[in-house]
This record gives sequence, structure tokens and C-alpha cells, in this order.
Amino acid sequence: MEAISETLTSPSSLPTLPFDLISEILCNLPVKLLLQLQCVCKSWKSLISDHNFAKKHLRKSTPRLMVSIINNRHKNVSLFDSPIPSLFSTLKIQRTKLRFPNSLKNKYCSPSGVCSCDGILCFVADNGSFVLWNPSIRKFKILPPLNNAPNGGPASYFGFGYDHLTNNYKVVAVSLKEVSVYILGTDFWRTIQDFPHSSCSESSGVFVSGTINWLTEYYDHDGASSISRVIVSLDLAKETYQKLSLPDLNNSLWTLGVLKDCLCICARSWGGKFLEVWVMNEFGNKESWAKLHTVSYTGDGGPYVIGKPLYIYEDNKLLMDFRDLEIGMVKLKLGFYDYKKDTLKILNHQNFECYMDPEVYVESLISPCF
Amino acid sequence: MAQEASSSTSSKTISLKTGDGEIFEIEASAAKQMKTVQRLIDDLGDDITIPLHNVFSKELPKIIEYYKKDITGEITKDFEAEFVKDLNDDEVKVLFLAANYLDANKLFEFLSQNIADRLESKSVEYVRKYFGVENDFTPEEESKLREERAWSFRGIKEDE
Repeated sequence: MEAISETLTSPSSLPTLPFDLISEILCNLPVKLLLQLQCVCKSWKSLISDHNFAKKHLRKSTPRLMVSIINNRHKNVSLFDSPIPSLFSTLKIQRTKLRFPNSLKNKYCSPSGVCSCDGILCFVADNGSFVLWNPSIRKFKILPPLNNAPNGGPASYFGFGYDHLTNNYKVVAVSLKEVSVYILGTDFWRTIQDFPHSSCSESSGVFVSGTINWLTEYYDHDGASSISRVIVSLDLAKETYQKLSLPDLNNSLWTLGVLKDCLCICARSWGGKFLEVWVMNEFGNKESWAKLHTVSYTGDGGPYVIGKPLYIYEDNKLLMDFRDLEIGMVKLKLGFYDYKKDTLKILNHQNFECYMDPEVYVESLISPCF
Repeated sequence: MAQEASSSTSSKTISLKTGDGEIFEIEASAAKQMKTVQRLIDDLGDDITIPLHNVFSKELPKIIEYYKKDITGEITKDFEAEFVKDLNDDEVKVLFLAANYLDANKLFEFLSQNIADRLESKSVEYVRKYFGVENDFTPEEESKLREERAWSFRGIKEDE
């Protein structure tokens, strides 16, 4: 029955919502339920698989936290995800085991790190293949091998992000200095300008504002063991590079991340007892680097090494990850940092051993197979 | 008639007439939040009673209550919870339709989320009934779809 506008006697008849209004409501639902609701009727099935609906849904989507856990008994890596913990909840975080694509089992190579964009995770499997995976809808795609694979070997750095110009997603792979780009929906890689640097500190790039960014570190020529750092930023639409300067800080271990759509730097001190979080409020503008917080951990327990901020809440509290260094293994912990009180509250979260930093991603309907 | 000195909009009230003939007053600044009302005011002037054919005396007071709180910045989570607490499914749908008709964005988004919340962990059959949608799949088609998505029908497993 079609949508009816209200008649003068409306209060007694059942209100029927027109399809476009139903679509608005559905945008608020979690992915899992939406997949079930594809069984409601044919028009709902089409709507929920529609790419434009997926993009609309993405805007209201909830971020989730993914962690890779080493299962001591079986010595293999399992992936779990959970909602971003609420500041107010003291309940144990409910984790869901992610069903890793069967054909890739035993090939997941966590130490390379993971990038994500719009709910799609990008990582490199053990055999060197790139994989795009949306765990929320359980769709994955194994990308064709890199052109220079025989010569250059597997990619050393990579990145994944959304290009607003072509309204599509791109994977970037850097092998030695050769850079290849893959556009979702095609079946080949294209070579672009060489990478302007070497020695990136982490293999996975950070996607922000249409660019993929890698932190590079190198020792100055004068050999005075001072480290110079610069961010290499690739504009996904133009496929050109830019170098971004960083604030001058004395700390030792740096990681690049993203908070609230801005590039952020976490610079840790030796021993990992405190770190500074700086945010580049205006992309590309060196002057816009501003210190957000200095996080220091002076509580009980430890020794802890402070990892990096994962997520920032409305009132600027940070969700941090850090490592508990026990002999023989690295255990991951999560905590909230409250800058007003300068306290770090460890979450009531089961310890688990893991390789890599947790990845924050959003649940989405966007398919890597379109 | 001599032009009246324009008073600040916050103190002016607008008269709204529902589809079933009742009249309600609303402050001009609240009326501004409902784009349909504002457009009618722009066309017809703010001195006459604005007719709202598709909104009725059952819903309009509730909508006015919401926007009264909105203009004083008093909309809190508690207020919103209280606002929808006693609304049954049909009432919330009618309010949602009214918010759409009035182009009252904030209320529309809030009610959209509330209806979505009411559907969490509900079955496919329940949702069909809720929206009055007919199933146009054959039994074979539907069972095939369900099988393909069997994993999404299972509950969230707790970590062992």
C-alpha cells in the first residue's frame, strides 16, 4: 500500500511512512540489523545494497575498535572488535570475534599494520597480497599482485583512502621507491611518481582529508645523532606529494595518527612515562600544530609503555592504548585520559597479548567489491 | 495601516491552526525552527493565523513543547527520554510525519533515531508489521536470503 497523507480523521488510522522517510530511519540502524532487514521485501533489499544509501548510513555510523589477539593455546592470531568504550560505562567491554575470510586464514600478517577508511580495512597478507575487507558485512577482495613484485618485493609502505574527486577508494603501495596505485573496481595497479623519501617509521599510512600520510625519520648528515622528521603526504586526487613539517619536540618515539579528522602526533619520552599529543588543526599549515595534552602515567602498576591515542571524546578525553611489558610478552591495555584531572583510568578490560596497535574503524555497508 | 515598530522576534507569538481546527500559540523564534511554518509566515505575514492542514491537535502541542525547550537551550538527554517515554509506536510515527511536514529538522532527527532505537533487536516480521510493509519475496527467495546472511541473524557472541 502506498504512503497516504493524513486525512482529517487521521488519529484513528495507522500512519504509514513513505519509503523515503523509512530510508531516513534505516540510516540510524546498525549494519547487522540492516543485513537482516534485507529480507523484509524487495525494495528494502535494493535500498540496503545501494551504494548511495551506504554513504548516507556512513555519516551516522558508529566507530569500533579492532584488536588482534594472539591465542596462546593455538599460537594464531584472532581478530576481535568492540564498540568504542563509553566514558560512563564500567561494564566489561563486549568483544565480538571477527570471522576472518576463510581463504585468507593463516595468511593474516598483523605486524604490517592495518589501514582503514569508511569501514573497509586494508592490510597485506602473508603472501604479499593486498586485501580489502569490510568485517561488518563480511565482504572482502584480494587485490591483483603488484606489477613489480618479482623485482621490488613486497610493499614496504602502504595506505588506503577515499578520493573525493573520483568518488572512489584507492590503495597505495610503496616498494623501494616505486609507488603503485590501485583503484577499487579495476583489476590493475598503476605506477605514479616515486616516493620522495625512505625510512618511514610505520608501514601503514594515515588517511586524512583526502591525503595519505607517512611519518619519516632520518638522521641528520652531520651525524650528531639528531633525528629529523617530516611527514610525506600524498594527495589522493592529484597523486602528488607534499612534505609537512612537524613541531620541534625533544621526545624520542613518534607515531602519526588521526583524531577528529586531523593529523596528530604522539611523541613519547624515553621509558614511555609520558607522551605529548599534538594536533594539526589546519591540514598543511605548520603554524596550526597545537599541543592537545601531555599525558603522563604516574599511577600504580606497570611498567607501562604509553602507546597512542585512539579516539577523542566530546570533552577532549582520550582513549589511549598502552602496553604492559611483562616478561616474554606484550599485553595491551586501554585507558581513558582526563586532561582536566590529569588522570589515566585503566579500563576494566581483560589483558591480552597482541601485536599491533588497535585500529579504530567505523562499521559500514560499503563493499570493497563494487 | 501604519507599519508597526518591529518588535524583537523573541517576544512575538504566532498563531497556528491545526487540520482539525484548533489554534495554538508559539513563539516566533520557535516557529523559525520549523521551516514550513517560517515559509508560510514569510508568505502570509505573521499577523494572521497560519493554517497547518496536515498537523492535528493531538501532535502540535507536543511539537511546540519540544521547540519551547529548544529555544531556551534546555534540551537534555533526560528531557528527550521523558519526551518519548509515553509515546506508543503509532504516536511516535505520527509525530515523525508531522516533523517532516513542518520541516522541523532537530525534532525529525531525534524522532528518526528514536524509531530506530525501537527497532533494535527486533525481528524481520516485527519490522514488516511496524511499517505495514508486505513481503514480496517467495518463500524460496526469502529462505535463500536468510541463509546467505545466517551469521547476521545470530546474537553477538561474548568473548570466551
